[in-house]
Amino acid sequence: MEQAAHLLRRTVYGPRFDEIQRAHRAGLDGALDFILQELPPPSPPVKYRNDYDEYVKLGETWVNRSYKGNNQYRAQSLKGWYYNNMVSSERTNIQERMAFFWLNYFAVHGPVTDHRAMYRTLKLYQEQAVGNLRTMLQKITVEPRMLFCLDGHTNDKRNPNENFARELMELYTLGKGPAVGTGDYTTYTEQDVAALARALTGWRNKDFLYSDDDTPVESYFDANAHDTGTKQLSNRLGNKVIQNSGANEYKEIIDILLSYKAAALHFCKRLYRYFVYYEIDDEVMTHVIHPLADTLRANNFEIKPVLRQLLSSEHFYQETYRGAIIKNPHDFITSVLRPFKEFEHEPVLGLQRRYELGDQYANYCRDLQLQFLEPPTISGWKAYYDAPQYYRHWLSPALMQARDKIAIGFLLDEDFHIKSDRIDVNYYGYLKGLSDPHSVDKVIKDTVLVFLPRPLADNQLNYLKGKLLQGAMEMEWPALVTAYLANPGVKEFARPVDDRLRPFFHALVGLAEFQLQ
Amino acid sequence: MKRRNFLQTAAAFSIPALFPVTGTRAGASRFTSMINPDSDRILVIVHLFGGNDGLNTLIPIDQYDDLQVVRKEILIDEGKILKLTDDLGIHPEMKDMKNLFDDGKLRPIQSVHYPNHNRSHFRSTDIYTTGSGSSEFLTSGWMGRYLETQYAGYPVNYPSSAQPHPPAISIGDVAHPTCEGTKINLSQTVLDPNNTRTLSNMMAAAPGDKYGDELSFIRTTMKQTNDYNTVIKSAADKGRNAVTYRYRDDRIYPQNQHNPLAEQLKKVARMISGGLQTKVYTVYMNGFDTHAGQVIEGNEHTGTHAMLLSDVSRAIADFQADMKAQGLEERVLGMTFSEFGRRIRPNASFGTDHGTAGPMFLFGSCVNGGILGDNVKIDRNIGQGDGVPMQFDFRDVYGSILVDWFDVRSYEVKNLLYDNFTYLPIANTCNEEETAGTTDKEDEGWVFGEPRTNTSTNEVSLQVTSPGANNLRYTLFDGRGRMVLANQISVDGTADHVLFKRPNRLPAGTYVLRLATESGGNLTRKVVLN
Repeated sequence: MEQAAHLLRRTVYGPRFDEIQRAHRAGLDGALDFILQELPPPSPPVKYRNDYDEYVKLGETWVNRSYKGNNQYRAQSLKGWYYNNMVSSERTNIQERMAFFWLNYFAVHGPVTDHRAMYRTLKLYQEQAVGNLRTMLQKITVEPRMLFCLDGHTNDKRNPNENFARELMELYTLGKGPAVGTGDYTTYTEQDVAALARALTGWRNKDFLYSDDDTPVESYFDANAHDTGTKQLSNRLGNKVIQNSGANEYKEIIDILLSYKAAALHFCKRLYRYFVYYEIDDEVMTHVIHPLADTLRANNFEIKPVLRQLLSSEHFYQETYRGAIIKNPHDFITSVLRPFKEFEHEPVLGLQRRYELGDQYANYCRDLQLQFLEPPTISGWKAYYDAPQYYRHWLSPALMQARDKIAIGFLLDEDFHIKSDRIDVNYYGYLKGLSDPHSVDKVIKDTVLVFLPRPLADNQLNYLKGKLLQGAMEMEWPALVTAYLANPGVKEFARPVDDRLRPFFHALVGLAEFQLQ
Repeated sequence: MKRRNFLQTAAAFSIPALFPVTGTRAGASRFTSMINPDSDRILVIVHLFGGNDGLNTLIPIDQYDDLQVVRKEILIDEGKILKLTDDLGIHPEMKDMKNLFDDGKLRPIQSVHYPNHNRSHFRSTDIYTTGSGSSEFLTSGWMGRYLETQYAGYPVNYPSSAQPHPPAISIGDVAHPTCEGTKINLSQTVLDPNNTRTLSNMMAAAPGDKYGDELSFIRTTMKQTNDYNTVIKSAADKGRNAVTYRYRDDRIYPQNQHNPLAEQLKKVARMISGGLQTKVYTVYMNGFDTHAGQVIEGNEHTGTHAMLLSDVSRAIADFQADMKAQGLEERVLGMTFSEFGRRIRPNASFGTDHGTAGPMFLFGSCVNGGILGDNVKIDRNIGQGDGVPMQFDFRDVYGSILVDWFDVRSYEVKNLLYDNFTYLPIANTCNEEETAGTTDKEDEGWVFGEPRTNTSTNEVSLQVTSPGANNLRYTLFDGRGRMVLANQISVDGTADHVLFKRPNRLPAGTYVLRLATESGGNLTRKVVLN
């Protein structure tokens, strides 16, 4: 069970008790089958309130619709949709975790906030969650938002812009090696940056930004802006020569870059930092990263075999790594809510409140320094690259207080409400789903398994037990629970149990251990 | 009372200012510390988010005819404008701040911005909070970088017995980006200082593995949070407010509404009053993005903008009165900023769109009185997209606050902000006058000659007369005010001393040599290296 829980905590946002049980029953291979299964992306965000956008019907998606109407709800819709996908997903799958891996990997940001373009990129990340690195690089290279972000849309044969070419090598494929000479970064050189920039000239975005007409959110290749000359690469890239191949030239570039093992190593390091631990020493490099990179290359850059190898390795389950990742704000929010199935039993959560709630989660995460639509820089969030602090970037006195307040003061507070509607987490469903709700010790044991990365010490268990019993005798608990489970929604029977579960969970998520996964 | 602050004003010709040396300081510190460590001065940063319309805040009356041509729809009646001077007025709802101005406690700075403006709220806020250029991307805040020079190694080993209080406090839920350090934000967030959040202290032994390392880090952070909250609460409980902070003005708001900015400043005042040694407080007010309904047609002195400015003016005046009543006035300086001004021409919705430069206000009893800068010149032919041109770089205002208020040397300001830093006199009236400027400070028994450069050996020597055996510290600065060389020699009686030989790394040219004695004397000499 411990292993199954560790696997799920690292791959699924906020795993539930029943999911851990299911993974345990399925065994490692069986669990990885469903965790790594390719799934279609969630259905797109919709118009969720009636007072906007007369050209789109309530409940209909706006992602392919013009900006003719009053569209101010679209930002909230997109954010709400994104967080609802994570928090209230029924799927026990890696898709959303990987989608955020990509989001951080490419870290597209910048002034263009056409929501249709943003959605397009998010959908790409979901579609390619466990897809193919080569396909992903090809798609992102000509993705409209990326063209805006790294100036590809102005990259012209008369005035090549190196921005994307540089990041393509430094951040997305080869990685920057030690600088051993002027403009020579071991894995590539400035000559290669200039040559690739020329090879990437000619990609343009259609005039879709906030457009009133039906101009699609697409890019296109303008042959007149493309540099048709030959491009000479440096000895770091085998002195290769790129001949003009117009609209397909970017694919050729990606093939060249991926032919070097440095690209696979770079990618596998990023995966490792996201799924296992930040520190990569020589031993990990030799025994983990290199074999993963070999697998990636041997499987034509399919990602699934690499993830399967990593997630079924002994290394991944070593005691020392269990719980050694500080949760990012997404992990944090989802790990508070999803084990309860959030607020799904609340009848007030209709379409509009559902989106507003998701948008509220986005605001919490923004306050915790993660704005998913605005990565701080093209390198993504510091937690995943900035030594020596790495994950510790997510915490400070201010942020610890904010986390505590969001979890205890809002989400798990008796008076938590969305707009004017009060909602309470689904304690009933949670308790009912445990292995033996009538046993205090079992309730605590199951809960620790679900919510915390490792078992607790005795003094901590006693502390939690005290919170759960609230002065009552342990022998009183079974009768309270029997009445509770037999009378769902009846206040008289709900209160004695809910009023004990609430301080118990406040104490649990207040523990330092809860920040870890 | 002039407060002891050891400050210089301008760095003439970018010559770095003098060391803070007086006879009262301990021996070693004046040789090692560039900054006054026992300063008890406090800066309060008021962030007006959304882009405040400067032209309806600080109104150039001398341009009124032209204003009528370009922004008639939102222009306030000339008769209603409160006059600061014959040429410059302030919004009619800012009577309290006009009174502060009349008392010499308000320093308006006209048309502040940065070159190559960016009209995104977020990007421009980033620029204003990091103190970057418009095409430069910094992750640390300008105040965070300064505070890191005062709280070395933060957050490791803080709070300490020497520095038990948080470096900065942000009122609200979010640590203000101004205080972002290179590692971590240096501000503690405080919603209510009398009612702070205590984090769990339920602990057990941490295992000696990677998980245990992270767990220990988290527990340390939680403990630090609780420790800081303890001193914050204790200060707030001990502190008080000596004046009643008024409700919003009930001529323009419903009765008995709290003024949200005043509520924040009231908390700040309580913490200061209770003896918290925190150097920087940030407060935040939203709503200045007045695209529509900024004014009410026909009554242009009313509307959203008037209501906002009324809150600002009353809150700042009440805070200032509180500080004065508690004898804290000379310790506290306030500064407002907004990420940009708005366009000169209004839009069709009686509002204004994102523009360029706008005014900043400094307040406190130590500000230099009067207005800094010239009135905005209104050109009748400006386009719809034009904002107010910049007159002062915002980093010069920030840097001058560091110089005037926190005793930071100009060359250090250049490191913290930008190379072209130009000092502006804004808040130096409480600083000691004898160390102002580049005047030398005599020290009894000491005599210094002129430095000589030996053209064949490139050695610089100096005749020194010392009253007994002493150490003499010297520092060399280049033409941009950067320290390039520093050392210390032993001197006794009268003798010639070779200070240094010109290192090859230093180009020929004119340098400034600063000499500082252990007992508080200092002076500068010009040195020509060839």
